[in-house]
Amino acid sequence: MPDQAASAAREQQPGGPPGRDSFAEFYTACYGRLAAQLSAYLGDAAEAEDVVQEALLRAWQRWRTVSAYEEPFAWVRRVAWNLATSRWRRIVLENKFRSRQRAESTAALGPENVALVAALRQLPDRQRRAIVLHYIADLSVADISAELSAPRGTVLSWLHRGRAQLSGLLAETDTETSKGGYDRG
Amino acid sequence: MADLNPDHEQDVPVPSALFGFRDTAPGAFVAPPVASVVAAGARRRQRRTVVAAAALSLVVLGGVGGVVNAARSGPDQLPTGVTPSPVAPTPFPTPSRGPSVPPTLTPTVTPTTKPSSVPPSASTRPPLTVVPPAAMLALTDLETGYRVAPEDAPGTGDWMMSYWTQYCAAASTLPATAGISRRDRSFLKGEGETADAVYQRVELEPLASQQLEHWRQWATRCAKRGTLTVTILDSGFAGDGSLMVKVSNLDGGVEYGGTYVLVRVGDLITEIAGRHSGERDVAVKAAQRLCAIAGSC
Repeated sequence: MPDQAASAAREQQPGGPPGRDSFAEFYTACYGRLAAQLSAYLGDAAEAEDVVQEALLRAWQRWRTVSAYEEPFAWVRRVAWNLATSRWRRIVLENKFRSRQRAESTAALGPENVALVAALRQLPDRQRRAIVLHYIADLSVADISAELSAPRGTVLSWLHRGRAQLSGLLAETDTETSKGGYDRG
Repeated sequence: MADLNPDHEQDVPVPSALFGFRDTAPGAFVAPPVASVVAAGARRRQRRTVVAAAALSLVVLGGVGGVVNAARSGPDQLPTGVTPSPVAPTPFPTPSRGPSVPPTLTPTVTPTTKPSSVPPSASTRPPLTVVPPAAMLALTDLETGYRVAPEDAPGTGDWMMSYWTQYCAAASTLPATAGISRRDRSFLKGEGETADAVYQRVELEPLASQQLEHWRQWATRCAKRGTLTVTILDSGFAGDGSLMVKVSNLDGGVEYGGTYVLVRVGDLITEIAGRHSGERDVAVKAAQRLCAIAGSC
């Protein structure tokens, strides 16, 4: 959980409504981190940005309530992941303010991160979700267990299998790039 | 911070690329101006407020009987803020799970234009491997004035039942891992953000029965949770199993939500949502189409 996002959400005028400034700070602090998490899960930077923008829009709509939460970032993260994992997510979004930075975002990830995303996409859904939540979103096993309604042992099993598969996939990628003559500098 | 070494007997190291991604990838995303999000949120809130005001006036005019009827069939009395996105069929997110079937492919089962037509015997049918186009609602199933929505037409959110699990989590995980094929279709009547809309998804899902039960349990468990109210309006009115649920959330003085219908026929399950009239009748017609495809009922 980004400290910046938490403090931005809590900075309010005494006795007054949560300020727009606090939302702006929260928004800025959340955006990149959430977009990165969701792009790792979805395998698509543009789709991840759509989901994150929709989640942040919903946070703005409820900002008076959300900003009073102990962990506003956790609320937005949960909404974003709900949207991302929903069977309906592909048809949810009405946002028209997106897409300018899509291609740039994917390119800006860099070759190693792009390779990781490609490898993650080959993992089964639940394994991939557990891996991303644990190693990229920094959630504990207990939190993942609660979020996915899965026993702790199951989560550990997903993480174990996910790590193993990911290691193999990334090793293959390294071999292929070496064969292809990629200059790692 | 996560316990990065959760299983202390782990024999597979954590790929360093994961931590590299965690530390560097956020910087690759540049947030659009916050003003654009605020403006979009304001537009959406304004739209909900207008629709809520219209619904309130109808309640005042129609009295209690009107309210009860509204929950079941009235177009204007449906919960506010529900505009299903009119997007055409989409593939599963996980390609290996099932085929994305372009509309031009020959369906597994010959389409029938009338749900009431006599289907071939189930014993003569090959097992379904995809959701054929004939499984979907057609314009003839709806009142006049609807059109099939184009793929890229705009829509708004908050209209899918699974969305509401963020307000009240399910007691168990949705059994959706065996999905084989799915197909979506949307219909619009009118123009712009106030258009009536019907959104339908049909899935070929061996766990369809468990899915339906999952949502029934969720609706019962979440009948009243914080600002969220979930009401089972009807059950067992079509197909091998069915459920009609009204979801309402009071947020910032504005009520919004939706009515959702689930119908199962064999391994086929459909979810229908939208702002339209006669949800129950539409659901029955959807069930008839599924029956014709499945060769049962």
